[in-house]
Amino acid sequence: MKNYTEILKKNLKGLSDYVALATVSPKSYKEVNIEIVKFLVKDSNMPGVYVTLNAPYGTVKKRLEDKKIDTRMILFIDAVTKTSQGIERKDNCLLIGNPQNLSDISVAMDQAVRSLPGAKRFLFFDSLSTLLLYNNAASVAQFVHFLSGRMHVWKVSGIIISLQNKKDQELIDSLLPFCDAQINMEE
Amino acid sequence: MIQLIYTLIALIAILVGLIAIIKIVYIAEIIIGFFSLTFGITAMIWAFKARNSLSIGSELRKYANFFLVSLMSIITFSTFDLLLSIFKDTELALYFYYPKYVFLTVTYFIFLASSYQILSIGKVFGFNKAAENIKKVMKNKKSKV
Repeated sequence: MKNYTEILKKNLKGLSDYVALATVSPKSYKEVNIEIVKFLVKDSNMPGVYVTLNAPYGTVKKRLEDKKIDTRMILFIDAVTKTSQGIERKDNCLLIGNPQNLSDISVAMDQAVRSLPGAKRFLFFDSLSTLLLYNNAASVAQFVHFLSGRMHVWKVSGIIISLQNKKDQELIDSLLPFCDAQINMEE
Repeated sequence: MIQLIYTLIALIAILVGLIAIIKIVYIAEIIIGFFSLTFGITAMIWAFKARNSLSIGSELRKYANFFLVSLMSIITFSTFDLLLSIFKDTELALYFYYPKYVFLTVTYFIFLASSYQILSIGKVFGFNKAAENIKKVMKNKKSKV
């Protein structure tokens, strides 16, 4: 079994506030997600924001809690769960209701990150590949450039996850100049 | 460099326009009315552009819609006010007097709705309470170590 924590530690060595792009195969996607959050919350002891465009908040929270990760340290932004009345709040989660609503996702991330206590915080964005499913390439490219820029302004440990596939490669290549590290989680 | 030249030309054009308005229209009330309208129209153009760049259905776009409508209402009020200033000694003044106050009242109603919208946005996007809980968790963890 791969030691994903060691891969993360090796690639992020010496970096405090960073924007990292983690690429992963579809097979190990779920496991890698949990390991990255475990590294950020347990090993690095940071509060943070988890933006999910893949699995609903409830599912993500359960997966993390099953691995003994303290979800009380995380603010969730769920853009995948459909809501009846636009944006809704549920415990420590903000339900955007629509993964195409990039404006509200941006505002939510900004407010969530700025509210976090402490100097060390993280933002985990799951995932770039899903963003492409719901939005056109131009909008995604613009959003991703905005996100990488804001992550530097917020001074967070930022990790954006993406699947390793040909379809997303062009977007990954356009994002790389703005990232401090690219982590191949399959190395 | 080219951008600077364009900016300078634009500034000179604005200055010439301002001097022309002051020279043609001697009455201060009307001059101020014209200036206010130009600022209002510029604000409306920027608000319209911003609104169109925001995601459809987003809270920010809804708020931008309210802001745009309130701007349109206040510009309409300003237009009637300016027309009243220009035609105040004629019979036409009667046609501008009441619409001016109608639009002023409508503007305040729209401001009220906009404020309610921003209150809702604040409640939804405000994470301060959740962050306080995280602070407590971190404090408890530190005290246990």
